[in-house]
Amino acid sequence: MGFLTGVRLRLGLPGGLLAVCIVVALLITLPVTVTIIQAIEGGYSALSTALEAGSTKTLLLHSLEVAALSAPAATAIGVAAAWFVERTAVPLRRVWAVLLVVPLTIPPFVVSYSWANLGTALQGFWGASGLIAFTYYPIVYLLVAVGIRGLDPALEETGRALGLNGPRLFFRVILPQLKPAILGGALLVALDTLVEFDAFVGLRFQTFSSDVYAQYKLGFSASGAAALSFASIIVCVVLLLGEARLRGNANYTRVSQGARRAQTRYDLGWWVVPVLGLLGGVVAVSVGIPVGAMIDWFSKSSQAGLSSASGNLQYLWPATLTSLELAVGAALVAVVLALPVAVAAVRYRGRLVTLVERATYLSFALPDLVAGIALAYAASHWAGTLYGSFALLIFAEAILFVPFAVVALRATLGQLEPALEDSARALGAGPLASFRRVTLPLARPGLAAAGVLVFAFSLGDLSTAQVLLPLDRYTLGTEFNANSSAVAFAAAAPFAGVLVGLALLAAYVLMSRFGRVRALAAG
Amino acid sequence: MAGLRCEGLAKSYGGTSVLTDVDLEVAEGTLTAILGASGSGKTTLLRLLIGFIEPDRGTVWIGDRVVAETGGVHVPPDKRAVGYVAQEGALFPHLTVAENIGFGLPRRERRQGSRIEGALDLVGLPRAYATRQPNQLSGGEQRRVALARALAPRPAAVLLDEPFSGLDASSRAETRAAVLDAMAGAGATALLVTHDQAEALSMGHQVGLLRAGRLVQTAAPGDLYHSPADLDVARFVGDAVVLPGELRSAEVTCALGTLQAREPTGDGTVEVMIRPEQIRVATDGAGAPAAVVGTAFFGPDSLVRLRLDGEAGLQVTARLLGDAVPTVGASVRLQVEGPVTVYRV
Repeated sequence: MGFLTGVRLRLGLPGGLLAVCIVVALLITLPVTVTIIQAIEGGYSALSTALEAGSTKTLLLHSLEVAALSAPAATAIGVAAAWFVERTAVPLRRVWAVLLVVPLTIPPFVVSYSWANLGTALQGFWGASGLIAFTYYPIVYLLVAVGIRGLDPALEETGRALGLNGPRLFFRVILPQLKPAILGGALLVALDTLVEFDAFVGLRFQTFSSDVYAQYKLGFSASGAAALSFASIIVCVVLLLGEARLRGNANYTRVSQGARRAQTRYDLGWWVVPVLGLLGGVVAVSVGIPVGAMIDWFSKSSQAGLSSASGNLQYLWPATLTSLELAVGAALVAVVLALPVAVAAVRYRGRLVTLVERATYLSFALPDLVAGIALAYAASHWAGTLYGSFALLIFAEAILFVPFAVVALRATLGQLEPALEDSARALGAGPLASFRRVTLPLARPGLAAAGVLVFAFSLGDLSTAQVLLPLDRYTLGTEFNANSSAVAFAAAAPFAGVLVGLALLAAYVLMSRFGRVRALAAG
Repeated sequence: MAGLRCEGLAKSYGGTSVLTDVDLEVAEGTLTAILGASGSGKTTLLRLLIGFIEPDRGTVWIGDRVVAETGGVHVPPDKRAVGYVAQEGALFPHLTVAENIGFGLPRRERRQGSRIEGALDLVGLPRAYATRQPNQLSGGEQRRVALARALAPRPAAVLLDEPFSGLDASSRAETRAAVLDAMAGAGATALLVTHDQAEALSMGHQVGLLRAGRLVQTAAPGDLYHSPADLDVARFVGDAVVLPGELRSAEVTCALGTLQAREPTGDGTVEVMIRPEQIRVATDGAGAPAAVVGTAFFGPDSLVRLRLDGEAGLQVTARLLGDAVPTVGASVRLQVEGPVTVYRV
């Protein structure tokens, strides 16, 4: 019945939801706002000094080059992996599905030191780009896998009936439908790369973020770092606009039309060998290297007679507790912040909605360190009790990783039929009751996926914790870093071991929840 | 008293008018079917009446209560006490059949088995279904549970959006009958939106024909079928044979003879609308001579395409009951039974 039944545009965003969304957007963009204020306070001369310093341009270029290489590489790996796992009869699918997302949950700084452990060959540009590609491809993998599950097999069958097969079918029929997922994933990878610092700590590779760190560590004023961050804010906004333009009018919400057949899995035939080789290779690089490095460190620590390691073990338990407290808190806060934005983005159209949704991505505009400084600045000026508190760090982690939560929730909510909420409304449930009784239970897999993603990222974060962690607390990450900086990898190994163990657990939970995203929505 | 009424209802999206000046009254305890093609605005009308969207202009009453009025009142859907059956049912996949049916009931009544059982009885489903999950039901059963869910809170009116779409022919008929029985049992005031003529005519006490956002005609099913407002309506509601004719004092002369006109419009040149089942086909005797061009067999009836002799190849279609279908090429005689409808050219 034409455009009106199918899409059911609801143009008017209810006032309450709009107000909540605006508050969330303001909270998420708080670091950017504060940074701009700081840069302006620093004055024009500080801005021009920071931006015109010879190294700034070179390093910004470094970051852009890494992003330009690693984002497409991560996208290619993610799309290929998602296709083979979701739609072919490759053996051990469930195992691959978990292993392929593990890199996302392993802390980047652990990966970084583990690559450094391999030798000096990986220290430069190629090592840095490869590390990013193999650490962040799961973002693309997850988004594209959701997209693939949402494909209507009838389109594929029509393509085949029109004479397309193999790669031509894939590139002409399937890939175009996945465009929103692919672009969204590539955008997240590119944005993350530009402000990445943790992943490069082990490699001797200088990027824009490390320049900002240098400014900070050398005792430059916060406004110097803020001035530098101007550049990353601009690049972020340009990328956001570019993605929006490339994506065009692609619709994320699946239009339900009658019963859909189950998707078929393609038999790989003898192609199973290269496909297994590809998946195995990806997992070997992305999971094998960090895990291998850890085994190496552990064996070194036993050779060293456990002397240095045992000296640190008393810190292991408190560090684990603090890390868990931080990661769980950040996950809860991020999900609460992401929920209204995701609901608005999926159910309503309009400039304001787009603006709010895009604004959440601005948490990628700043290196974590700068965001941390900005929040400390904001707390000290406007909320004194929060300054130096653990709660501020939880909040910081939450808003740094909230875009991942928004993306995960949007994927789930987008597949819920609006008719379900309509029916609840007609049955007498108000907007909030309908949300609580229908939307929320059905979005549970997405809520869990969003929470686990933020949990894993917060667990693996180093630079924000270094700025905002209260002096009397320490996390697994800061302890690992303190020890690894002293080139006492053996002493750092137990902390990395717990981190990677939690990462594997998170990946498993993520995939067991995520596996039900499509199934429930189709019910 | 009207169960459901709207006046001057209008809605447009971005400058494109979707509904224009719709007046409709559904008498209490009756079912009105809104029939319209794709894009005619029928779903928009339904959503305006439930309150999912606000009208640009016009007033909506449910019972005696104004629930939407230009520049003021807009009662949200959850406060309108209307039942809604979405396309394909839209059962909550995370709840059992009983929990689905109980969704709209006050908290303490949800647990009462009797309300749930009563609702299942009403739609003709076994009580044992209460514990099933929606994905364990067939398409037809899902629609029935959706109706039971909508009726359980005893709404002032029930609105159904293409409730039988996507069902196969046999379960469609069965589900339709079950829905009619349940509606009658509940004494519900109902509005049903559909693009299926047979569904609208067979289910509605009254049928409203919506075309390009306007309610062109609202009438009892028989009146709509036999006295359509214009030829477009005539062709939309069923097969129609249209021939040129001359009207003179309630009698119209056309290629099929001189026939009695229903509601004559005044003498002059007219178009004559005849339903194919009015045309009798005989091998000899009186009537207009014609040759059989083609036949299509449907089981209970057949459609026969005929070319009239001498009239520059004018073609008509007749519907014949049973097996007595003439062979292609046979010469036959045609006579028209009953009055025909005429339209001014």
